[in-house]
Amino acid sequence: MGIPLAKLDYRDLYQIKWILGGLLSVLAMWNVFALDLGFTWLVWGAASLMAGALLYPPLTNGLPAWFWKMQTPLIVVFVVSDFILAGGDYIPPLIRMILLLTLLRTLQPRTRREDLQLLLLALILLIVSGVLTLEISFALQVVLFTPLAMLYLFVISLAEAFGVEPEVPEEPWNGFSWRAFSQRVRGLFDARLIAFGGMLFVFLTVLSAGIFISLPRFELGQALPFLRMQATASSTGFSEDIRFGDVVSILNNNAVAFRADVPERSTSPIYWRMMALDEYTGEGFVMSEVARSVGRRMSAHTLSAPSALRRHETSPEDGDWTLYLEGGVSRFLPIPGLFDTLRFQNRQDLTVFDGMGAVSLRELPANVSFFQLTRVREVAALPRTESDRALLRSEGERGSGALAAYAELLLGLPDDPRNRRILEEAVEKIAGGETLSVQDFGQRAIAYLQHNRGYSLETRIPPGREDPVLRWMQAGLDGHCELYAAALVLLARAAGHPARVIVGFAGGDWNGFENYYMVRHLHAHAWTEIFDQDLGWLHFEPTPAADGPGGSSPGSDAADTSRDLGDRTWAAYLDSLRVIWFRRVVNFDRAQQAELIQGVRQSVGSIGEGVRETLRDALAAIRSAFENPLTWRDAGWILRNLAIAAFVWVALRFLYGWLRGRQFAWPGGARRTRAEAGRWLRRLREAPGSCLPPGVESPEIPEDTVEEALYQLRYGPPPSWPAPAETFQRARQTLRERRRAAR
Amino acid sequence: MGFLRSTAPAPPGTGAPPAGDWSDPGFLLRNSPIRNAWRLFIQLFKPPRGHRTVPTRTGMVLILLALGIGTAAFNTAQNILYIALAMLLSSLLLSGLLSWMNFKGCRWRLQTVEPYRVGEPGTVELAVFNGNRWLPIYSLSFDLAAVGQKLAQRLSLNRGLSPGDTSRLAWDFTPTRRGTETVLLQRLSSKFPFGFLVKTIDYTQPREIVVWPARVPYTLQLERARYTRPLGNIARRPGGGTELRNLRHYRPGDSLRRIHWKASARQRRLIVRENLEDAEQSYVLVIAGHARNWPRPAQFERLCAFAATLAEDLHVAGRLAGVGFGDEGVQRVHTLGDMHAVLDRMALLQPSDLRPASIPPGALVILEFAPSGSDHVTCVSNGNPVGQA
Repeated sequence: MGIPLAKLDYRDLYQIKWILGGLLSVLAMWNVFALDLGFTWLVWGAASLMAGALLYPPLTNGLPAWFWKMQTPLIVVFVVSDFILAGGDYIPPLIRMILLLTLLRTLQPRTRREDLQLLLLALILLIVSGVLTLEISFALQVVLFTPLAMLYLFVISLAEAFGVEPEVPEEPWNGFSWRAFSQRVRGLFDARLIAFGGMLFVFLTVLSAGIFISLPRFELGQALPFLRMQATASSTGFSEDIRFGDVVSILNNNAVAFRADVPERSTSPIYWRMMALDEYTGEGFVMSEVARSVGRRMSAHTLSAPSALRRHETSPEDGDWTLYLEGGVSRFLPIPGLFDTLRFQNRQDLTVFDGMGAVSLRELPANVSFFQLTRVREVAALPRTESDRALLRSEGERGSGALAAYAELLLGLPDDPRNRRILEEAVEKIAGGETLSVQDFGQRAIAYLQHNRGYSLETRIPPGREDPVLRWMQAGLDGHCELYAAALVLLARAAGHPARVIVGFAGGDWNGFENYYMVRHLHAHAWTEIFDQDLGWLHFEPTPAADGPGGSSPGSDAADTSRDLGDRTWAAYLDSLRVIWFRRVVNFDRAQQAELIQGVRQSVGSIGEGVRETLRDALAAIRSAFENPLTWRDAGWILRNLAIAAFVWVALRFLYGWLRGRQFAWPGGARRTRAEAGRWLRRLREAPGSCLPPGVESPEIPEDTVEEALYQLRYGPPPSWPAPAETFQRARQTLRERRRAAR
Repeated sequence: MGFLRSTAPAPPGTGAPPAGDWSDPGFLLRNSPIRNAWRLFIQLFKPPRGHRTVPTRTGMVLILLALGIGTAAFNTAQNILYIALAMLLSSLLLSGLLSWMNFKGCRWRLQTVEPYRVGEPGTVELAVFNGNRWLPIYSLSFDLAAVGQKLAQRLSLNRGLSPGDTSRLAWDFTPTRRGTETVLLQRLSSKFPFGFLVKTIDYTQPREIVVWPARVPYTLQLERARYTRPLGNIARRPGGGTELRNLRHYRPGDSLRRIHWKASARQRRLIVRENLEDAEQSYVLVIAGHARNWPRPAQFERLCAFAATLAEDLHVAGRLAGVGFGDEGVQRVHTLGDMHAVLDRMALLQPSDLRPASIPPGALVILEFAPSGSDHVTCVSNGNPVGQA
């Protein structure tokens, strides 16, 4: 029994392929929305037109002929202007061009060549948007796109077999209705075909995964700076110039800024250092020109840690951390402590600030970028670096020129004498006339700042002529991390200790599904580092804890979450899928590949070892059965295993026979018929008066004889068979007649 | 065709499958699954003779795209590109696998539907059978060719062929030259399923056919042919006359009006009357002479065409007693089979085959042929021209 194939005509095939092409275009558009392309109207307009044409194909009939005539010059003008106006950033105009071409190919009546062009354009759009976004939605897109594309190609191939000219039927959408169309298409499907299609899909997915895993990964230095888009502005506002309120302004944003894959959960909040701001402007802190000028520019795939963050001794507990930084967060990379090397997936243009312990990308990435830090250790103090030599008290050790100027900068205070007086009074209160170590001074200053003061995101600094930080300090108001950090820096500097504000993130939500940190924008934070002659840059957290008066602080939030089981909400689950995608797919590298192969090898080895062990036991049991008198137990063991082996053998034979019979035999019980025909041929050959010489397998058979019909049944394909029952009846009669004649 | 598997045993000593036999791609020749699997594995690297798989233009684009994406992937370590590359490569592999499966279940048979005659369309039929249990067969193209006349035709299976179904494709081709001709399935090809690869199997099932001479217009005045006497037993052949010749058993196709009911009742089975044909003047065509008499090939062709047309017309009219070829004596023409044998002979006749006639004069009404002018042929009876073509 055959599969009832619906009889589609060329027009049906044309409509199916046109709709499939539209579906592919819409699918390829999906990730384009995630790109910051500019020309939002173009993206939305293209998507709307594609969806509209897909939902109601006859719409395309309404496009006037002049539109199709004018399309080529219009596209050329648009694309050329777009590239010229883009000013060197070629990726957005490139995507816009692909988008425009895809749109036009989607809307127009298509020949086979244009169908293939549309497929190619949709594929390029899919890949380019996938590469730029690195989103998990790309996986879903690919999973849907691949079978659709194959179906599309299949239908194109079927339509080509018709050999119809012209390829585009006259008014292809006249009288089109979705109901009639879907009925025709439904007739195509059969349960077995759907099952077979499902099996093919699984096969394709497994095959693709296998190829993806086994494709060799070469360490070529990742030399090509491939398709990177720049964001127009940082979503955190983290840059070299931060005014009071910049950090606070993003604290209401619950979106994830970056994710950190760490070896194990930290018991204390992690401070993700992004940049150090050394110059006080009265309105905030900035990275000074001196600090900026000493930044090392480079283009690298792997780099050693900046000297301020470099490890000098290693410990086996130190692990590698992988960070997935969302697009548009900041050019500066969040770094949790000391480390050995920093590795990107691709070559990157970087600026390394050794003294500041910061690493910055040259451009603000618009999509997720990730990097790995090796042998990371969280520390409470950063070691001294060469650039800190100017900060040493000993005159002999202190440098001159730029370094000396830098030292002055790190001790800089507001110029106004009133401000200085306020600071001196505060320092007097903190130190109480004693000479305190940096550690002690810092602790006392924090206690001074937090005395009767809490955390608040909404701080109204009273008006006055003094420095705003000092006004806040004197007013005894609650405040946020920037004010606390700035106040501590000014107090430390007033006491003669070089100090700087550090901005970055503190803490993060622990994802309870996949065990990693989700650091959100609301974890943005500022804190203080004070220079100690012996220990280097000591870390101080001046912002009060969350349960203090006035509100909560991000750092203390992290401390709280570190104690519970982590975030196990649906949102966290969805987020964990994204990280699995990053870990297992986007970040899959040579090391993971080697690990996977090693794992497979070990598994195979252990199976082999198990088989060998079983065989050894079996041989030993047989040997012992021969050497010793056979016990009932041994005999039972042997019989049982023989029975199992026989059962397995018979089952395999049966399975193979069944499969072979199902797959390859002629339908309709052909084997039995062939065997029966063979028996009758043998009887006739052995009977007197046979026209078949005995022992010859393929004689010349006289035409129109029963022997010919039997041969046809014995060897011919079923479509050519005479009726088996009648042929056997004829053979019986013939045999009887010949025997009678012989008597 | 050693690379084809024949579903019926081939006759000893011949490499070609017997006429009417089915062919398949020969993928699964062995009974042992292990040997079949090994054979298939070997075929991946060394395809059987006549089997080819080449990328189409679409396939080349795909390969180039895969190369480009692969190069970018290796140089950028972008796993998205690796995914795209894996997808493209697996599509290619799947395409090859499905193409193999499409061919696997396919059986085909080339059948010639004789007769073939110069200038008249004849039919070559190609039967395609889907031997798959579950899967339809799609998008097969068959290039048929008549080798000698350099005629070719592509037939396409433009609808899916359900499992167990047979589709028959016909090529109506018009021979341009008499003689033997080899018709074969020059190429079986498919771009199934995605059009990336075109898989072909070359040169299968050659069939020899005989093309009879063309029918030509002619003039004939038989009353001018000299009558001697009817050709004894030739005139007593069965026919539509009134004189009873014989009673015989009924054969399928016999007219019911000829049933002898009385005899049938006696014998308890159907008996029919066989009457003698009414005596009419019958003729013998003699094709004789020397090759030097027919130096112009076109004129010789006209001779063959004229003789064949005349023979056939006389036979239809029941007035052809026989045909003589040179000194071979007269070949009597009773049945349609005899007529076909004569036409086959005329199809293969060459000037060098001509010999002087040696028929006893006066025994028959003999029609002979002679060249007339540069390109005509005259029919002669006892030296008198009776017709021309």
